[in-house]
Amino acid sequence: MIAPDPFLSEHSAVVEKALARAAAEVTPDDFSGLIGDSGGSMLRAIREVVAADSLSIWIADVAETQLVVTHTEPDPGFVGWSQSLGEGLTSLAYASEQSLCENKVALNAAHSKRTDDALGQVTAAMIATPFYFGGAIQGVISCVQLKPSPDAPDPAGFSARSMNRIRRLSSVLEQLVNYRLLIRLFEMEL
Amino acid sequence: MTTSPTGSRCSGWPSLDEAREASRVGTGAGVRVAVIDSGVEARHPRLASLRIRDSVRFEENGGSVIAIENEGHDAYGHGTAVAGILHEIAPDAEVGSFRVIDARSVSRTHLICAGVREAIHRGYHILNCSFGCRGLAKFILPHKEWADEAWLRGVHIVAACGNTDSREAEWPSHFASVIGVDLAETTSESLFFRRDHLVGFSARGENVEVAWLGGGVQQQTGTSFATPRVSGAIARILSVYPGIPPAMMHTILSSLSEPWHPGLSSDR
Repeated sequence: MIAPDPFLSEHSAVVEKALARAAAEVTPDDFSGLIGDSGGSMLRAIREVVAADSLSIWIADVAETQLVVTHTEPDPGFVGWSQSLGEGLTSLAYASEQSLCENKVALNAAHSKRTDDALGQVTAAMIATPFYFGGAIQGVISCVQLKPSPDAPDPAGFSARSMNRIRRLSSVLEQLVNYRLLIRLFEMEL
Repeated sequence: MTTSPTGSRCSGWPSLDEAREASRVGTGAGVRVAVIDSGVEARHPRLASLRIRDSVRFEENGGSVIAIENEGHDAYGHGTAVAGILHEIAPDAEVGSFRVIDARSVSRTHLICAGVREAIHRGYHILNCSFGCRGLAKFILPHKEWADEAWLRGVHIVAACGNTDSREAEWPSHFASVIGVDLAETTSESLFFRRDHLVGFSARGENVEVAWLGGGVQQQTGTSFATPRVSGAIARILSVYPGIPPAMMHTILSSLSEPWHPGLSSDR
C-alpha cells in the first residue's frame, strides 16, 4: 500500500497501521471531505460513461451495522440514506467483497425495495462494487439505471465493461482517499 | 456407461479430433460435477431433469464444521444459476450441491475446504468453483492443499477469477493446476483460450439469463456464469473419455478453444 520510498519503507508497517486506524475512524459524515472536488469530478464523468441514472458511494458506519450514502451523482438528495448491512444488493457486495452486475434487479429477492419505495423509483439495473481504503473494505460504490414504473420497458442495462469501469473508479478513489488520510496523518503526527 | 461417437465409452486417451467429437456428442453421462456454491434449488423448473446426487450443507458448529445431508438447497440463487448453465451444457451429468456459501454470498475458508474435500472423497470428477478468495498469502495454503489433493486424485477443478480483473490473484483460480475462467464479452457459445495467462480460459458470462431462487430467472453478468460452461464442456468430454487427467484436459481444452483476442475483454 505504501509506495516503496526508501525513506518511508522501514516505517511502512507503522504507517499502514496508522492509516488503517485513521480509515476505521472515518464516519459517513466526514467522508465527503476526503474525496473532494477531484473525486466528485471522477464520479460525474464515470456516471455518464456507463450511462447510469445515479451513482453513489456508500460507507459503513463505525459500528458496521449500516451502509450510509455519502455521495451521489447527480442528485445529492440521496445523501444520508442508510440501509442495514443485512439488506439489499449493496450489502451483498460489501459482505462478499465481490462486484456484481444485475440487469433485472426487481427479480432478485435480495434486492431491497425499501429504497425504491422511499424514493418513488424502480431500479432496473445495478452495479455494486466493494470500496476499500486504509487496507480494508469500507463501503460500496453502486450505480443504477431506473425506470418510471415496474411495467415500463427495461433500459439497456449495464455491461461487464461498465462493471470494470466502476471497479477501476473504486481503485482510483481508494488511492485518493488513502493519500488524503496520509496527509492528515502527516500533519497531525509526523 | 455412456455412449461415445463409436457407441461405447472409451478407455484410452483421445486424439484431438476424437476429443473434439466427444465435446460435440458427449452429454455428461456418468460424470459427477460438484457445485461448490450457495446450494441448488432442485425444484426449479429449469432443473426438472437434473439428477442431483448429493445435497449437503456445511456449517460451523462449535469450532468445527459439520455436514448436514439433504440440506443443500439454495440460500441465495447463485448455485442454482450455476447448476442451470451446467445442465444446459451437459444435460446428463450428475450434480452434487455442496453448499458452503451463505445467503449474503459469503463463505469461510474452512467451510470451502470441508465442502471441497467431501466432494473429492465422494468421487466427484469435476469441482465447479464459481467463487474466489482474495489472493492474500494467508489463504494460499488452505486452498492449495485441497487443490493439490484434487490434482493427485485426477479431479478437475474449474474456478472463476474475479469479476473485474483476471490478473488480480484469487484462489483457487490462480493455481496452475486449476482451470481458471474469465468472462468473455460475447454471445458465442465457444470457449476461448489465452496463452501465457494463469486464468487462461474464458466463456460467455455477460447478461446471461439464469435460473434463480424461487423458480425464477435473472439476468446476471459475471465470471461465475462463464465457469459452468467450461465445467460442462469438460463433463461432455469426460463422458466419452473418463480417464483423462487434469493436465491432459487442460491441453485438450486449450486446443479445442478459439484463440482469445482483446475484443473479448471487458477490461477496455
